[in-house]
Amino acid sequence: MGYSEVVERYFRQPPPVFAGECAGQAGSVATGTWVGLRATVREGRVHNLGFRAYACPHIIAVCHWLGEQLEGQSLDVLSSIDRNQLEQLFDIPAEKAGKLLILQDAFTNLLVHAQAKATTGES
Amino acid sequence: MTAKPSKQIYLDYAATTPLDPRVRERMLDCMDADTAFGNPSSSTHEYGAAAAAEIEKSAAEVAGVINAKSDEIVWTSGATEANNLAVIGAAKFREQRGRHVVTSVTEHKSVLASCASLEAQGFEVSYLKPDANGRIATETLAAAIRPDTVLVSLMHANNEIGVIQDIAAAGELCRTHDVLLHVDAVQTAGRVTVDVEAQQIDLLSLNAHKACGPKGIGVLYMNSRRIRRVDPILFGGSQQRGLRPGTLPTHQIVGMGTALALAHKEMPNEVPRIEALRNRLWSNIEHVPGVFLNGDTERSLCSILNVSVAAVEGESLRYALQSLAVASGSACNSAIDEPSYVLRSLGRSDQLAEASIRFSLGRFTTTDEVDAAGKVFCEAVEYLQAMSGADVAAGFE
Repeated sequence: MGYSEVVERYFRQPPPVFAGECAGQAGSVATGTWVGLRATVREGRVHNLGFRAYACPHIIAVCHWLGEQLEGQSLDVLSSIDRNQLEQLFDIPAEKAGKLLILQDAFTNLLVHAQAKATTGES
Repeated sequence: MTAKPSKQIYLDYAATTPLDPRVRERMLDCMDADTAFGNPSSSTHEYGAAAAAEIEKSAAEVAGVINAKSDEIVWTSGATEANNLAVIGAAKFREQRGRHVVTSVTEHKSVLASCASLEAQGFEVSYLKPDANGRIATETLAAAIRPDTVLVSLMHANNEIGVIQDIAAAGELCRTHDVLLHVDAVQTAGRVTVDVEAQQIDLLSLNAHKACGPKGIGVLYMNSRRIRRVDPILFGGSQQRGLRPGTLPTHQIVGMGTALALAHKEMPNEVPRIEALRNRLWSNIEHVPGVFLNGDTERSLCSILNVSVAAVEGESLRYALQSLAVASGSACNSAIDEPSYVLRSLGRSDQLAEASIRFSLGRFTTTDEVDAAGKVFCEAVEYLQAMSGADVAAGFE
């Protein structure tokens, strides 16, 4: 399988800090893809998005990239991760659509957790 | 993690090997217009006779490596064809005596597919399962042989994990029951002693390119006292007594004879050297938590080290090891995105079977290459285990 230059660049970055108070995860090792996300949410904005992933190079590279892109963004952005954009930017083959759906689920779960914490006033 | 380098370290000798310059030189000698370029079947002129003489010499070289006779050598296009011819040809030729064949689930696909072809023609095939170390117990084989068994086909050494089977015991058992024994010895020629007489082997497949010879040439040895002939699988000529028709490629055959003779001659020095390198590589990586050795350390090829890694996704592991030319599972499976059937049959989980790497060393492997490979592997595994967030030391699998 070929990988684009952007995958090569992001895949080899060191694992990010994984310590925020909001968390979301999806997938499993048994199915071949698991993604865990942690982030700090301050005043409705995402900070220090970190991840852990048992996943293919494409998904690891995408996680690194999203960590950069989402810094300081509104929490709502977590619900609008654009799979088509990611497929094009990282040249992700069509057969990996399911892995991107798992990634989307992890972000959705992170958003749900962050909103729940905000509602309950949990710190 | 180390960036992708410009040139990979080649550690995939079980898939194929570089051509030895000494072999190349002998092959080129046969390709010039004033040497042995003639058709070896055209014995009426000196060009054909020269080619035929080269082929006779090469047959003697190959036969000498396995303690056979020159006229027991049948040239093929490679080991896949040799395995097809042995399994299908021998079973079909003997089908009046019975229609049962025994093999193992860890054979090369050229044997398994041949068995599947026989099944489609009404044969029954028993597929033996190895123990956790990859070995087929003699008792398991004995229990599988029936009155209607005509053929047993086993690998000498497995191409993925390097485990060596007890072929002499299998040979004795088969001879006792008057069952033909076919052995795929592709991985062992030049690395382990192969003696068709002492090991009571009836059919044996070899190729050249696993022993620093050319691709596109192989051999099926046929014990002349035990088998008069096999049913051919190719048609259209009288070459090689009609067993395998087609004009013989003199330069390829000379390459194979030279390669196997060299490998055999250099075994006493090469085997301990390569084994020391293999052991050095293992000692360089075994300290990493979650790294498991696949196979039998007591009885395996000197050249193969197969490991599985816990808490690491297989595709990312292969990607992180881009600076190494290694295989995941077998080379034949590397293009298929599925866990190795050999490792699964040893009881490895899908995760461990998928995150497996086969290092295979050979004639031109150096200590520096082994040390560099160990460093790259450790960095990649530690990076990906950290990335997966699993507590490997706590026993994640």
